[in-house]
Amino acid sequence: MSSMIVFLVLYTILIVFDLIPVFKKKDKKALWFSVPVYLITLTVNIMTSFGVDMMSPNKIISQIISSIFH
Amino acid sequence: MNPKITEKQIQATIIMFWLGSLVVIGIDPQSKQDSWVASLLAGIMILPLLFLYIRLTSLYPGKNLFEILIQIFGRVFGRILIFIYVFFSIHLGGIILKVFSTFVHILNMPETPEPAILFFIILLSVWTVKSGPENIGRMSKYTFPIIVVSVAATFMAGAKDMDIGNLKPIMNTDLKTLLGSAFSLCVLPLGEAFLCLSFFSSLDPQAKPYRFFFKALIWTLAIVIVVNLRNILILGFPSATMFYFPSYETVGIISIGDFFSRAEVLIGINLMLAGFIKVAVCLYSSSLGLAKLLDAADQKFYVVPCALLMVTLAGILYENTVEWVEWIPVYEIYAIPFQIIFPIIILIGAEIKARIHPETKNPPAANKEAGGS
Repeated sequence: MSSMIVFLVLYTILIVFDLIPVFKKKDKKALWFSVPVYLITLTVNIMTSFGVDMMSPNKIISQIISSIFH
Repeated sequence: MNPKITEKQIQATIIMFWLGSLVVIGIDPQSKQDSWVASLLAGIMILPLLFLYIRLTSLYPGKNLFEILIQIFGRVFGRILIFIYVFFSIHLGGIILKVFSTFVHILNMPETPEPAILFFIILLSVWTVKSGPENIGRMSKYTFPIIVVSVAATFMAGAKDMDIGNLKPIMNTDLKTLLGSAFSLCVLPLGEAFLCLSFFSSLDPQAKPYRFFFKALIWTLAIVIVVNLRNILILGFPSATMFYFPSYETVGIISIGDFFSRAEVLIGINLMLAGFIKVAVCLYSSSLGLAKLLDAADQKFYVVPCALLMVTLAGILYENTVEWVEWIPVYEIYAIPFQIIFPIIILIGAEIKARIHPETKNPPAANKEAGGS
């Protein structure tokens, strides 16, 4: 729960000081990239703060490397 | 006129970037008390890669890594390589963030949730990177002496606790093991300096790459060897390999009378300073690469998305410290393409391009805005 609050505060700060200025500048390319990244990362962070087990990229890389070398 | 990164600043940035990982890595259990010899060998092993960086920058002066990639391989293959390096920068940034939040969480703030620690590191990194690459250079220049002074002070203060017998038997490790340890050190972190080429479009034209790369290497090796010797002389082997953060434990032992103790806070400061610079370099490199990948005019709009990806990655990379330690040997293989294979391919491409189209050699630096400088 405390982790979720931390993430909400972090995203609020970043939205106010980063995303809203991008909206105001009407930089469509940056918006098309930023908004999905904000949404996806916020979802993943909230899920991990609730204890949902996410697949670590390191585990995927380890599996790929061990499949190549063994 | 855009502010430029001076030679001293880029030198300090490379040193801090290297120390960002080296101050965390403990003594290699394979090379035991000879780990300082492995550090020296790593310094020799990294030389061909440093020559590669220097040659690449001499072929494309005033260009950053991503501009060089587009120039050599064109828009399609160049962008594929840019994507690969953006991914590597974000992943490396996530790893470093996780290591430093784990450090603070385990040793200093066990009750504080790790996201809260990440929160402060990443906000500061975002602010620094958005202020421009020259700001990272300036911060490195002013924080580097703090590390030098604290390493020297803890070495001298720890002299009374040192046992020279801990270094014996000297050179008892076989050459194959020593070379293996040296290679590990080359990959983690010396070879990661390839990402520092992102700063080269903001570099003062007077700066000489061979001079700052070699000075940075000498300073880094000197610091690492002093730290290694201090840890081995005070803790001895195998005690020094039993801790995740041996420098912290070593300096915790040091005290002068009743008035100078608990100096391990200095190690915490060192770790945070070097780690913060390393995260900032990864963040700058990834946002610059992303802006180039998307043909965007301003790199600053991509700093926060990259930072969010790093924070999210840091949250899911490892569940515990044991997983982190187990990941290090995997990383040594995983990083080889990014640090050795692709840079060699890039240099070969640059040499061929320079020979086929001599007019593209030393082209004037263009599109500085997209370069984020």
